[in-house]
Amino acid sequence: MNNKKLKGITALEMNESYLRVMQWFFSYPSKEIGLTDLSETLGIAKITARQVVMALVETGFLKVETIGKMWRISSNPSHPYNFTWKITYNLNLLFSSFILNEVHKIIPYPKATILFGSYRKGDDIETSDLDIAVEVIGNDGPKIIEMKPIDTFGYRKNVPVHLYVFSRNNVDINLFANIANGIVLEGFLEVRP
Amino acid sequence: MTIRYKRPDTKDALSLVQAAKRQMDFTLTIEPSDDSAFTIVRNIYECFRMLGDALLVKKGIESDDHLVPINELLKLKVNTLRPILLIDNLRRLRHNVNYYGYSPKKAEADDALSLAKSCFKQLYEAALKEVEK
Repeated sequence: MNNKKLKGITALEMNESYLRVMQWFFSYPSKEIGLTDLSETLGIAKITARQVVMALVETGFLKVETIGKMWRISSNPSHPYNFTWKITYNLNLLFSSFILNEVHKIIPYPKATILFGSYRKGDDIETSDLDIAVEVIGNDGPKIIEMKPIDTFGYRKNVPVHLYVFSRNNVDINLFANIANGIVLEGFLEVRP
Repeated sequence: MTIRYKRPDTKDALSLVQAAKRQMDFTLTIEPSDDSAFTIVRNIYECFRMLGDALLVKKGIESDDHLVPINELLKLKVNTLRPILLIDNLRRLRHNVNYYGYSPKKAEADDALSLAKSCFKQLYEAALKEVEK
């Protein structure tokens, strides 16, 4: 990151702003936004926003299209930040949302709870569902439960949540492989070579 | 979690390992059902915990919770048919049974028995070897 200090902006503020900009684009990877709107949305000074955007353009995470005096800023969905930092950002939001407490209200004692799908891979977009799988004991076939959406998930609102309840004795191998490549949020998921 | 350091006690550790084996041998004879699941799940878990406790006693460590002995047990290098990390799931299940009134079902007893059959012997032998050192 370009940490050249601007007059009146501390390194800490710069760092905080850098994260906010990055996280906003994690939340809205397919949106375009102007510099003024971005600085207003994130509550940061326009001059700081400009410097952060330039730094992120330098890394290749953001793209800027100039139309006259206007900037149209968008993110580069194939940039590595989307498959590294974005995943840890998603995980952080997931635990902060206390969604596991809501899962326990539906399935009180799961063997394992796993985040899988787009939020696990970091390729989630504004309209993506949050996919959580829970392993239960028994022979029941998989069922999908639509949970109450999460009100606020970072900069996103009303994120839909789908709960995949499955037992290992009655699950399609492709669904299981997908789940097994997720992130175990609690418990231990048994897999075999 | 509290850990207290005491003098290592090989005799006590050996006694724990042998008690775990005796209890496990008995538990494996219980017919699984919805009624016996409570006893089976708790007994099997306790046998694993006792092995972990024995390893701690051998080192002169006394722990007042279940995490430390289970983690100690999971450090053993053994080759098993099912992953030994599943014992931690059993710990969570036993915790829910003991403190949240959860009633385990026959399927859970079957799973605990399967885990015991695929891991206990190897862990017992490895723990015994450690204790007898």
